[in-house]
Amino acid sequence: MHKSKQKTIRLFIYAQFAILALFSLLTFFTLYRLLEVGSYFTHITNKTIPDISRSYQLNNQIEKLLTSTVTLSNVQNDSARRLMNIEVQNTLSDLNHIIFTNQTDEFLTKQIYVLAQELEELDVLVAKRISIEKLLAEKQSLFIEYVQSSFIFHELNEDNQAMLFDALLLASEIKQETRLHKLRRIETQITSKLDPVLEQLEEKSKHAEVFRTVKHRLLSEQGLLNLRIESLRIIGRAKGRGSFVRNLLADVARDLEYQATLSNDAIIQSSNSIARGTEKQTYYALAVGAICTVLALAIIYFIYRRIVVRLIQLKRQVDEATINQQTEIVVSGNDEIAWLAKAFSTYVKRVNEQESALLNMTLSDPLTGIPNRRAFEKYMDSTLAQARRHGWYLSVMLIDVDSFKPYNDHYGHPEGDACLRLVANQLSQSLGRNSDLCARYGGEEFVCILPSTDAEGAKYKAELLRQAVEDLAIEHDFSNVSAVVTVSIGVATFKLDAKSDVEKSVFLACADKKLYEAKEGGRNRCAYYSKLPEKE
Amino acid sequence: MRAFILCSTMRFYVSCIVAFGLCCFTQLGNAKDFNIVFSADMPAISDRESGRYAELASFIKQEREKDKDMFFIYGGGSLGPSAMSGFDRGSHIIDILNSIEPDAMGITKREFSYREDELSARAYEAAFPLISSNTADKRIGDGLEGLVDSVIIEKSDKKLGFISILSERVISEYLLEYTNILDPKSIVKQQASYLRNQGADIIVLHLSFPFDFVGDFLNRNIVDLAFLSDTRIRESTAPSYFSHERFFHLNSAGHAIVSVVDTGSKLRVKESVDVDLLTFSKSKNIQLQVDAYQLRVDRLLNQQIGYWRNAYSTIRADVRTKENAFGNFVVDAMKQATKADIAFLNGGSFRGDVNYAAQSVITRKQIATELPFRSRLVVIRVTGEELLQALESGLSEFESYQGRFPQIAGMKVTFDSDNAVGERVISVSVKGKALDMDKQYRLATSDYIASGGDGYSILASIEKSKEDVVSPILISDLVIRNIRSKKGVDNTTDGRLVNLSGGK
Repeated sequence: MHKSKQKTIRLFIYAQFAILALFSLLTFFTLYRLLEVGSYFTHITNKTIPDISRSYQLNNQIEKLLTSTVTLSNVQNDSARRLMNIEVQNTLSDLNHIIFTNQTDEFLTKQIYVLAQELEELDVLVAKRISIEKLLAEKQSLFIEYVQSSFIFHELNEDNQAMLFDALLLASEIKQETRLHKLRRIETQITSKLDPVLEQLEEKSKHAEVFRTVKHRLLSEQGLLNLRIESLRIIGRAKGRGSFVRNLLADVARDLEYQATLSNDAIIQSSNSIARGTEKQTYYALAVGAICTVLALAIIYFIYRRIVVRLIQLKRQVDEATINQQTEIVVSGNDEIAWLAKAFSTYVKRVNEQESALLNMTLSDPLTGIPNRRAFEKYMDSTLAQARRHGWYLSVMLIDVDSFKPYNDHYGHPEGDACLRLVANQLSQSLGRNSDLCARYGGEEFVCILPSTDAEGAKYKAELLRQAVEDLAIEHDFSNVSAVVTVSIGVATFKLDAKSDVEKSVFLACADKKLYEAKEGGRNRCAYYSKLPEKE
Repeated sequence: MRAFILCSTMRFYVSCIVAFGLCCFTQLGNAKDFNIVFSADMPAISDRESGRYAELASFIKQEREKDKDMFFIYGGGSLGPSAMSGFDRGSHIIDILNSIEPDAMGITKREFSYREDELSARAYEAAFPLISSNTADKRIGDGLEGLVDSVIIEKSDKKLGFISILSERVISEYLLEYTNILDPKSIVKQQASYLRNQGADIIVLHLSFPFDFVGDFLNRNIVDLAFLSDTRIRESTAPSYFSHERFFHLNSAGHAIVSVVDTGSKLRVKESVDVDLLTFSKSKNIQLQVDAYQLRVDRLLNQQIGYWRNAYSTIRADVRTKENAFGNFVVDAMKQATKADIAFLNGGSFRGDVNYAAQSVITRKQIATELPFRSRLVVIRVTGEELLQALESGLSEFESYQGRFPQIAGMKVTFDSDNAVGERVISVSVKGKALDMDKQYRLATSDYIASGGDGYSILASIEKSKEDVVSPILISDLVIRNIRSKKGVDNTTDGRLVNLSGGK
């Protein structure tokens, strides 16, 4: 029974688990998505936003470094150079710091290292340029001084004057000329002006000395021209280094920008995929939620029909059974509830049986409250035995209500019951004596036991009872004896001793015969027998 | 009376003899020997084949010791492109040349590698004049700043007039915005006559493109000598004047030409020798300079980034006439990085001109040498029709190994180089389907090509849409990144570009 009868419970459990599982799944996925989004935001906060701000800072530093480098290349004196160099170094170390808090790119490290080297070398170059320019300026003023102080212009002849003049003019161009090849030309031209004069002049003369000095100061290795050339070459190299640094910085900036773009794209992609995933998830969640709700409703309905409705049915039938003494409790189905119904049925039946059994065990007549037939039998047996022992008289009376059936038919059963109750009560009370018993023998039949009562006493008592009932004056319009309810009584009296074999049945038979006589005699009367019946 | 007549006749004859003698004397006086050295085309200072500055310096020194009036003409072709020039725009070349001190330098299109203003800056840094006779700056209406139209180089009593001309291709090849190229033929005539008026004994013309009028000008002595300094011109397509006595062609890098020219009654070349500079010792000072510059590049770029898994070649002839495995690697990377439909890059972007052995190391320097121009990666939209025209452009100069030849990705192209120009493309397919003339394709290429560089004017004329992308990354950077992530290059050719012509 158990396996099949437990279907409902099992089904119920499964359904519950199904709902639980679906909701758990839903919660799990939502949680997962939340965690993913959470970690994405954490990533943005911890990496992307710092990256972007770092990127911005880097760009600033690179800009700064670029302008500082250009300024450094163009400084005119040493103190400016030192100042610019400090600024460059500071910017460079800031750059370093920003880059290295998060970078492990080997090439970037190298780029920055080379950058530092180049900037240092640039500084050296600029320092050299400045010192040469200083030297040039010094030599220039010295030259002018010399020319002014040692000049014997008028002492020269016209041609030489012209040559010298031309040479000095050319010399004055040296400072201005910014093109190397033009300077070389100037060199050639100065030479072509001074050499002819030198050839002419006497070697040891003062003029020759002056011209030689002029030539030397202008054109020698350390002369103005070559110094100027040297400074221009250094400027050229510094420009080259400047370009180098600029392009290197541009490379670094571009690389960083590209990395930022890549990481940007990655973030955007991941955010897109999360958004799409979340959207999908939301749809799933809604779908699953809808399914769960529908399922839950279905389960509720199912529980209602299979369990609640049938339980109510059961309850109703049990109630009815209790009230109506019905023993049939049935609930359709093949499960615990049906089994419960069957059990209830069984129990009700049993209760009923026990009730009747119990009823049967009692000695009271339930209707009238006076002793019942069983009580009579018992008392009769014991009184009979007693009477035999002591040799007493014993009388038994059978009393029957006259025309009781018509009474029932016309006044109804409840009235009939009430009448019987009154009659029984009256009989009981009228008997008086404790040892006398009046019991209900049958439907409208009563029986009385009067121990130690002889014929005279029995006769007296019978008449008493008959009168008492008549005195009740219960209306009986359908009696064919009187207007009220009457009884007919049959009495049997015997003297008993140890040897007598008068059984209970003899008494009853006798009393019954006399009752019949009373009935035949016209009812509402008593008939007596006091002798032992002949053995016939 | 007879004595008088005799005296006059005598005087007459004597004057004639004297006059004649004088004439002879002056003729003799006019015959000078010009020792002229030409060299050019050394953009990469440490290149094994062509990086010969130290040797050149000692050679020049030697020649100057022989004849202090020796003329040294440098034919340019050196300011770029190279890995170092990518950073300093050719300053280091000028610096090194300053130590060698040529008398003049003519310029070729390579001098424009970093555009006009950088060239002007270099001119100021140079100890010698940079000559460009037929360029004009649109902005100032005169020649480019710092450059000179022509020059007379004077040594003692010798005057050499020097002219240098460029072909107008330089505008499209180097995308020069501010430069006009004036008609070379008329400029040469003009300058030559001007220089002669200034007293030039000989006129030397420097060129880097085989103009057709040169032979004629030499024959008519409009110019006396012509010096072509393009070591890349193929002899098979050379015009006939190449064999002219007074025409000098420097046809290998790392060489110099020494000539002795006699300017007697008729100008003639007494001697002309091609000198391999490798045979000379290195000048210590110059080598120090070269090494110092090389060191600066090396310390930056000597990083190993991967391995050449197979043998690769970026020899000029290879990248400019057929599908190239390294070319494939680069354009594939471009296409992948931009998720474009197709990509191509001109073969002229690949400057290495070397062979890489299988399993050898790849350094950043190699890539910086291969792709020294700082071209950016761009994506533009082209119709099938426009793409076809672009491909025809790319194949239009196939014979002369011009740099416009395309290395392609994302498409399969068959062509026939024997066909007429403009009809060389036979078929084009993208993703297995034939090219749809009206469909729009996303094309990844360099900003240089997209702006119409190297003759791709069709691409310049396309209306730029806002969906076009200029990537922040340089193509060379992209290639380096890809090599690093793949730990090397292992592409092969896959028949995506096929020449149906039987010839080559």
